[in-house]
Amino acid sequence: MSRSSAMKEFRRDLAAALDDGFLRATLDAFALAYRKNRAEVFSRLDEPALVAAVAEAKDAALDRLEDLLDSFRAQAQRRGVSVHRAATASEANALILGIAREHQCRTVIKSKSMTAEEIGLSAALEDAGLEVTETDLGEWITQLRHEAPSHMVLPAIHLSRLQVAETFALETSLPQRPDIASLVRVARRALRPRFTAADLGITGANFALAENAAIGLCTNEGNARLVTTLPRVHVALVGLEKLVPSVNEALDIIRILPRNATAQAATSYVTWLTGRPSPTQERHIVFLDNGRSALNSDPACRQVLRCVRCGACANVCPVYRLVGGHRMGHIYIGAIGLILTYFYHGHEKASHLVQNCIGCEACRQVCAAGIDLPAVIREIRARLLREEGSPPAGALLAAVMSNRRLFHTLLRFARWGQRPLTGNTPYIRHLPHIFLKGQDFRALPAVAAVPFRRRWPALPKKTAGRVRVAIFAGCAQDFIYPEQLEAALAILNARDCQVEFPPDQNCCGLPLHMMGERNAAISLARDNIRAFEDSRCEHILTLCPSCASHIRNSYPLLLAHESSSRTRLFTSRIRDFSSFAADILGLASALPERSANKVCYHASCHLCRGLAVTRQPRELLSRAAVYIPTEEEDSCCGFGGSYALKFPEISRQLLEGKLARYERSGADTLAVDCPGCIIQFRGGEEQRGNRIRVRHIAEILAESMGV
Amino acid sequence: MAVPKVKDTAARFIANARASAAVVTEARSLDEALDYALDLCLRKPPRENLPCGGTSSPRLEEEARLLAAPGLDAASAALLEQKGKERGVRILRAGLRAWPAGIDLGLVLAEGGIAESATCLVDTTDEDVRLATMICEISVLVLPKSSLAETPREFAASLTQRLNREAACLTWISGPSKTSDIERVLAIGVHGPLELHIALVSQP
Ligand code: SF4
Repeated sequence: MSRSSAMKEFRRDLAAALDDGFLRATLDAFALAYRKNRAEVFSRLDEPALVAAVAEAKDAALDRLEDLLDSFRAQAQRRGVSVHRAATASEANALILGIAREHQCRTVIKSKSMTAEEIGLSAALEDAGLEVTETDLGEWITQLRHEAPSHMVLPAIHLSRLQVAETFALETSLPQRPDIASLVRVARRALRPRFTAADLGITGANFALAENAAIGLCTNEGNARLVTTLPRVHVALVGLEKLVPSVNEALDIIRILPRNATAQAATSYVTWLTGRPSPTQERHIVFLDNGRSALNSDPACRQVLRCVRCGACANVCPVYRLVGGHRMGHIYIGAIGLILTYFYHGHEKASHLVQNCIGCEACRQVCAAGIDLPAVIREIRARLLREEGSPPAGALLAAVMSNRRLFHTLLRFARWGQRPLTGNTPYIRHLPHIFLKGQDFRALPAVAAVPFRRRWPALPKKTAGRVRVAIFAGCAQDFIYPEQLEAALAILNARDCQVEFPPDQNCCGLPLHMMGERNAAISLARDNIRAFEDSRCEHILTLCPSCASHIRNSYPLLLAHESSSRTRLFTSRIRDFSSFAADILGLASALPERSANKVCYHASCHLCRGLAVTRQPRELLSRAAVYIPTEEEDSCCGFGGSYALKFPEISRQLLEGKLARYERSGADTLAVDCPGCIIQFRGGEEQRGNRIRVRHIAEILAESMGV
Repeated sequence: MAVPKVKDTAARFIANARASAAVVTEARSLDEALDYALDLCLRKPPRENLPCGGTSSPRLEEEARLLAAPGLDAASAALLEQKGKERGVRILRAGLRAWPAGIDLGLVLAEGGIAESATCLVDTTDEDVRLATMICEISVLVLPKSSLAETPREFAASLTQRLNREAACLTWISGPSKTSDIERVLAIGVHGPLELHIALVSQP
């Protein structure tokens, strides 16, 4: 299938999911409950320390994976347990089938294992004539319906009790009431004889301990305990990356896994097994490679092998919440699913999936293993572009933006070119329909008549002051919202700052980096470092947290092979507006009496997660006006740069959900830190009748100060 | 006056256990815990006779109750047998594999408890002990108060020691068997026990 028709099909699929009212309501309720319960279950724990411990332990284990495997094998053999290593999915399937045949097994019971899903184990065994029963309730349901799981921890979350009752009625040939407690009993009754009759039990493992060949299984239902106890033969299929040296590492994993997965302090059962189940029972451990060793020697991406499969990266993903797991991964789901599809299931399957990340960083913030998932997704996009070639639009954009003069000249020309389209409003109103397809849920902003860089020479500013500041404008504020920079400049002047504007600065490069245009992103990073190199400023202020977080977090990675002190000189001086205003300028205490304006707040992804700035904007707002907190202030607005252009249906849903909440709050103004979010919110409000005014926080503060 | 630590730990354990849908009772001695288990067994409806394919369980008179208690020392086992006889409860000490269709209640001894997650540590290497915590409708774990600790870390050394043996199966139990697989609604008792009771015993 061509790239564009695969994408079209994917988008049709997304649209169908968005129309599934049950799915939407369930995932919404789940997201809200998860958020609340997770906060509670972590409240008495040092979460960052635990995440760091897991990351460190996993990294150390990955450094010596082969040694750990050798030790595990030796310990297992001493205990009469066979250890196998499978290089590929088909090798693992063949191995397990061989074990089944050797022991004359005909019936198989399985407990939940994503690794078994990864290799298509059940289908392989069934094709060979074995009778396989999934015993995890959710997996049994999806097995009976011939569907794939849609979540790593809650496989049947996409189904309603009515659908489950229908499925069970068919299976048991009895009418079934759509009552959850009785449906659970149906599974208990129907599966017990399968447990007792099974010849072979198959499980995964949450960890494997090299020091004593023990494996650990975390479960809630208790099915894995029966699977490892009742049949004559037990096979555990274990990803190589599950190896850790000892109990110590496992204890951290079992502490974080259930908390992050389902906001439980512990799963009902943690089973630690070593040796044979009994002298008459067999145990085999099959370690699966299937791309893991290659991934382990891939420095840019190996961190994904730390994953403990908690599924939290799906739980917090705003796109998952809208469309469910079947569109957020092939087998593995959520941010990790986008990534592992590329590594384990082929580039073709991943090529459109990896585009379905809006870059909000919620997954990075929640990851139990501290994996920088968005960075790996960007890396994969870059690799896919190298493999498949840039689409024409991306290549053109990369060529234009890397050449500042050309880029800025084109932007200036855009002002003339857009005239017939704007009807003298700040929005593009008359774009031919073909360009607006699906985009009409928000008005697109027009380019400003005079960009900030052209206004700069005439603007009042101080050439000496107590704080030396340079402005990094960013494209959106330079060319669309220069008045926001002017507001900030007025505040800087009032607070006795010396301000400069290095003219050679260019786009920060984030949009190109998000599209996978890595080389163009590197070239822009170099340009900007050069542009500020001679500046003697103490702080480089940007009103765009997306620029700030890209510069702070991604420049050091993009320029890893270049002088780190030059990069650091630039990145360490970068400041976002709110934390600069509150912490450096001490603005909160300098504001005059607060106004009666009612302000609600949107916490931009790149500010609250990218830069971990959360306190300062709220502090400033509650000094300047009546700040009305609202639910989910920090959920994504749906802009995501080019994401909104690629997936307008999702962008629209995210935007409308947020605007509806803000409008209900009774506030008259929505304060926002990021010009990208402002494009999205103002555009949306323009279409909804401007029920709420959308302003950059600098504009609100400047007005409050009367400057 | 500062409250002794074990009291805090016990209080935390109890609060967390209740939050995880377990029932906690405090007993002065094992004797008292055995009485508690017998009471529970007699109060519950007789076990459901689950279909079990080819391997059907031995038959028991209607309304009779079956209590499995593997892993007790000889003296405690004799005491329980005696109490069972007096109260009409059949006591099963081994051979649980023959009863896959269901057992009313399984009682086993836990050897440690973790307060932060209300976890009971049970050495289930013996298959009968394992099955007693799996296939019974009610699971009773007898946990010495003196074995409580705050976090799993405190058990790292003893856990390692056990796993270093030739064969081991250790089970950390926190609440009854449960699922949220249908519409995320919590339902208790899927494949394992429908109820978990923890008898916190002050004198082992
Ligand atoms: S990537 Fe992180 S958040 Fe996602 S499943 Fe793995 S450990 Fe959990």
